[in-house]
Amino acid sequence: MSGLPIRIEHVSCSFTHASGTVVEALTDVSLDIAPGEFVCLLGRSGHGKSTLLRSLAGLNPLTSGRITVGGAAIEGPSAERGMVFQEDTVFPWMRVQENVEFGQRAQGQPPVKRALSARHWISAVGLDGFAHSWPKELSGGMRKRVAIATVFASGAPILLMDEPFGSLDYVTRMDLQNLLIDLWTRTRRTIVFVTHDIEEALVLAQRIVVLDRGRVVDDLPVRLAQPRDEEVRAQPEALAITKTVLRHLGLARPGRPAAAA
Amino acid sequence: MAGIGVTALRPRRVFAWRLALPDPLAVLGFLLLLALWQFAHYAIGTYFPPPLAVAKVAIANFAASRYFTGLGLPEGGYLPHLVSTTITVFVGVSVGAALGTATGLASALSRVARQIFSPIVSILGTVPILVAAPFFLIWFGLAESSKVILVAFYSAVVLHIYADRAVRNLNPRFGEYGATLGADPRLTFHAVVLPAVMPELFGGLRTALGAGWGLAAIAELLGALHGVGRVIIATWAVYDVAAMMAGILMLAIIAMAVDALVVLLRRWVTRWADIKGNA
Repeated sequence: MSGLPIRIEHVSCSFTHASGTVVEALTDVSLDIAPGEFVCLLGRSGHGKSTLLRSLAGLNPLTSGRITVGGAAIEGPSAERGMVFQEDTVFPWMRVQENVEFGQRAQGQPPVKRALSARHWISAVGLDGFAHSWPKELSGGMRKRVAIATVFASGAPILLMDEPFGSLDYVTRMDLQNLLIDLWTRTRRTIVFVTHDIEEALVLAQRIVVLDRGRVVDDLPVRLAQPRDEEVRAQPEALAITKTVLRHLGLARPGRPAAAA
Repeated sequence: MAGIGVTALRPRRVFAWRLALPDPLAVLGFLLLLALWQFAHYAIGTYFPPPLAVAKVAIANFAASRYFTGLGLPEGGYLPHLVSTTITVFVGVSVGAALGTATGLASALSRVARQIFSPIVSILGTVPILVAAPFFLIWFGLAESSKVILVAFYSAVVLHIYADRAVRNLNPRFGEYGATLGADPRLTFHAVVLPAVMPELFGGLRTALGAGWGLAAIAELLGALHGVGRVIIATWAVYDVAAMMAGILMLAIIAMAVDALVVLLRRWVTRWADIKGNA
């Protein structure tokens, strides 16, 4: 799938709190993301990851700088950039099938076409037989599968994921990571994935961008083979990335200099 | 590959038409009420007739009553009055609820609409509805319209408040999620906002309906050609407490039946929602 390159140029973003203090969430962030890349934005919570992702989605006005997608500056949310939120946003008043069809419905696709496509993606995320279930009948992990099927079915070449698996248990999270990698490998959509979990980033990303206090402090390629099981994650290269990230997060143990990546 | 993790779970249908069979506790409560009523009759005396006497009056004068015509009431016993009050409530609540829902949704979604409606509703909302009733009678006369307008007025204020609050309490993530899937404001309104506020709107509808019966009856007490309130006033003049109570009792039965229907409808419309509060 050919995609659209994302270019983030000198983006800054500040918020004014109710108390009147101005908080700079992003400071002069510049980043290029190539079509088909799987990028993880990693950092401590409150250090700008989600703000950057929401800015990419067009849900967050910038204070300065600009973001272009395929050369065009973004102006608000668009169907070319689908988003999976940490919160459960699957529409509870629609059955699974209607949820998955929603993106195509919004784009005016004919019902037969979008129904077929929805079936395909429902099956691709492993929810065969649940097309007519209500979201309340599904577990949290299954609802995440619905959200993933929905953004893939919408046809968006760019998928933005804001700690989508943050609220799930360990096993479910691993299942969904594997599912996501599988779908990404098959479709090569661009995925920008926010996480605070180094292990999750190591499992998923081709590239890890580390944010600290609203700035990009590192941009690490991850050249590990998929699937990234424990053994792969125990290789020296993976450990080096882990150490570098820990150092950026201020968690490196003193007296033991972090190995250069 | 796909399918990882979704194990032996099979889809299940949660919603089933549970018939509105009476709850044993509700039956017990009803029996207790009858017992209290009977006891009150022994304690108070003639002017608190027992349930059976009231039921007899209700049946004897239900569809035709020479006694009623003797009191100056129109032909046909209780029936035309029950019909009149019921129609008043149906029309008043429907019109008012539709108006209030529209203005409430508009206020929540548009700053301009909020600026227009918000002061109106805050002023109207503070007017005690019973104090407003005599004015309606003066302005709109003794015909059916004034009691319908009274019920509609109250329903509109209630539904405005419920609809406005429901939209503003809606998790903004739903709208954002829709927008990143390409939904325009129109689709967002009818596929996201409207279904999301349905449970709240039904709450408002039940509140409006519950108050509507009383408001209609009170408007009729103050002056109307038809309605249960008119019967109460006419029988009050001759101290026929049994006839007064029979009117109220039959109206209460209609109100309960209508409420049960609304609950059934709500259960179906909001069958996607968690069961809690769906009693």
